[in-house]
Amino acid sequence: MITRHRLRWRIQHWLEARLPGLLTCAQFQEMVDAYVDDELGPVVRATVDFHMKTCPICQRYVIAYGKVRDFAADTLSAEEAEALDVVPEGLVTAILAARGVGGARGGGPNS
Amino acid sequence: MLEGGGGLEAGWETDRMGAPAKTSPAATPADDAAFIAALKAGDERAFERLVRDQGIRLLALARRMMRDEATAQDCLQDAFLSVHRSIAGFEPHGSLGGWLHRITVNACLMRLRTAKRLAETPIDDLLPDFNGNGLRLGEPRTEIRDPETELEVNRVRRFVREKIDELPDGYRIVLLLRDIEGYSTREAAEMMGIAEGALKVRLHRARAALKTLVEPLWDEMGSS
Repeated sequence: MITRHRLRWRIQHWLEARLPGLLTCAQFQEMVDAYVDDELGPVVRATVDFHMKTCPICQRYVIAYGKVRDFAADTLSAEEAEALDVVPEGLVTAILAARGVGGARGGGPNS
Repeated sequence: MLEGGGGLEAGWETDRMGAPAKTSPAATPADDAAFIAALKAGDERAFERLVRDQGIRLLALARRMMRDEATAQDCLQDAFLSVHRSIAGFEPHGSLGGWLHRITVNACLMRLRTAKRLAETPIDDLLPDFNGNGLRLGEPRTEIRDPETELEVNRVRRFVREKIDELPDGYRIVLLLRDIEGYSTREAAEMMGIAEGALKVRLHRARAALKTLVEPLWDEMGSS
C-alpha cells in the first residue's frame, strides 16, 4: 500500500517535471518570513501561493506561523498597556543621584 | 549645570491652558523644542520630568528585554546616564521618544552582551524537519485558531509569554526587536552587531521555534 508521504513525493515530482520553478517544502520554508511579512514581489508570491495550493501541510504551517507571530506581538503590547503608571520612586532617586556623580556606575538600585 | 532651569524659556512646565503640567506620559512634551532646549542646557527639573514620564514605557521595554525586574531597573539607569551624557548632542531629526527607546535597547543589549547571553545556541529540535526531497516531515497539528473568549485570550497571552521567555536570549531579543519593538531588519542587525542575513535567519528560527512551543496549547484547547 502506498504511504501518504510516498504519494506526496510522487505528486511533487510529477508537478516539478511539468512546472519548472515549483518549490519544495524546504524552499518554501525559506520564504515563510518574507511571505507573512508581505515582503515578496508578485512573481515569487505567486510561486509561494501555488505551493500552498498543492501542499495543505505547508498551507496550515504558514497560517499558524503568522498567527503565532501576531499572538506574540499582542501578548507583549498588552503587557505594556498594563504596566505600572509611575516609575518606582527609588529608581528615580537612584537615576538622579548617579547622574550627579558624573554618571558613575555601580550606584544603582540593584547594584 | 543650571539649577531649576533658571533663565530658560520654561514653556514646557505649563500646558497650553497655562495649567501646571501633569506628570503623565500623555503630558510629556517630549518633542517640545523648549523642553529639549532645557534638557540640553542641563535643567535638573526637565531631566527629572523626562525620567518620570518617559521612564514608564522605557522600564516596560527593559523588562521585556531583560526578564527580571532588578536588571531591567539597572538597564534603565544605564540608559538615562547615557541620555545625560549625550543629550547635548541630540539633533531633533527624529523624535526624542525614539532616541530614548534606542538608547534603552542599547543599554539592555550591552548588559546581555556582557553576560554572554546573546550567543546563538542550537534550537534544532524546535525547527521543522524535511526529508531528502525537501518534503516537510510530520503531520499538521491542531489548527491554531483565534481565542474566542476573554478567558481564552488571557490563557493564550499567558502561555505565549511563558514560551517567549523559554527562547534563548539570542533568538528572543531578535523576535522582540523585529516583531514587537518595530525595528527594521537593518536597524535590528546593527543593534545586535550581526549581519542582516544572520538576523533574518535568527528571526526565522525564533518564530518557528515559538510556533512549536505554543502549539500544545491549541491541542489542549481543542480537546477541552
